[in-house]
Amino acid sequence: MKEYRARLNLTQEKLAEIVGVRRETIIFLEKGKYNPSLKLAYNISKALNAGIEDIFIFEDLS
Amino acid sequence: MKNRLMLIITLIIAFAVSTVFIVSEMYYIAAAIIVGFVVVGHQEIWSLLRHGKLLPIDERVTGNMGKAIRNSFLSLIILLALILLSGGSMRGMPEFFLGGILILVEVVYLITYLYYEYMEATLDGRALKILKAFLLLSAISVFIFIFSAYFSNIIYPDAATAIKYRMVHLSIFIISAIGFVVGIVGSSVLFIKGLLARSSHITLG
Repeated sequence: MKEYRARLNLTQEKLAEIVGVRRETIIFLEKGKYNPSLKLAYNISKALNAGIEDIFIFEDLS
Repeated sequence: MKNRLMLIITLIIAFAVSTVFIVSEMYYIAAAIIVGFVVVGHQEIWSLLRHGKLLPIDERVTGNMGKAIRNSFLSLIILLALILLSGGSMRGMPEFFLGGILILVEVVYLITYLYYEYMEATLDGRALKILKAFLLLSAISVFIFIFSAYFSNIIYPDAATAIKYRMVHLSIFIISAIGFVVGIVGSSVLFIKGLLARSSHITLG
């Protein structure tokens, strides 16, 4: 996610503003400390011009 | 716009409810309600004062608020259950005690919110487990202290058992006080560690 954001020259704050979340949420997502909802994952992928599967990895923990 | 509206609605409700309590001369409860408003909206108020804008209430924040509300509601239930179990009555309870219970519940909200909001992201698994243990120790100590304080009011031991009873009662008081101090000191150290880690990683990007 950080890589895609850097490619578009977007700061964490700008990306947060685009997708309507707090900057901390972007920081937590980049550190892998928060699992986003499908809606947020979709919005982030759209803002970063990439597919959801390019940015997020699904891990079945069951 | 949505969160600005939410903040204004919450402020109006808090103002209206606290006015009712002030008119009824229940100042402690009114104060507890105002403190509650500040506790729940602390980030929004801080952002409004510092940057002149409100932070969005996103899904992560809503989730954390939900968990904090669940924990504070649980602590309220446990506190009331302990008071009722120890023979206390809500009707005869002094107003400052009710206000104190509300403040205690708000403290639980604030601590658990900060835990989910910052500590889970900044502290590692082992430190988190230790922090959780310290927080639980402090909470259990407070609950035992309140329970034993109330319990002492309903037991009237005879002369033969009075000394023995007082010794047991004093021991519970001392143990719960020590437990509280250990829990508060331990969790404060880890909280500060977590907040310092937060300020260092927040500057990245």
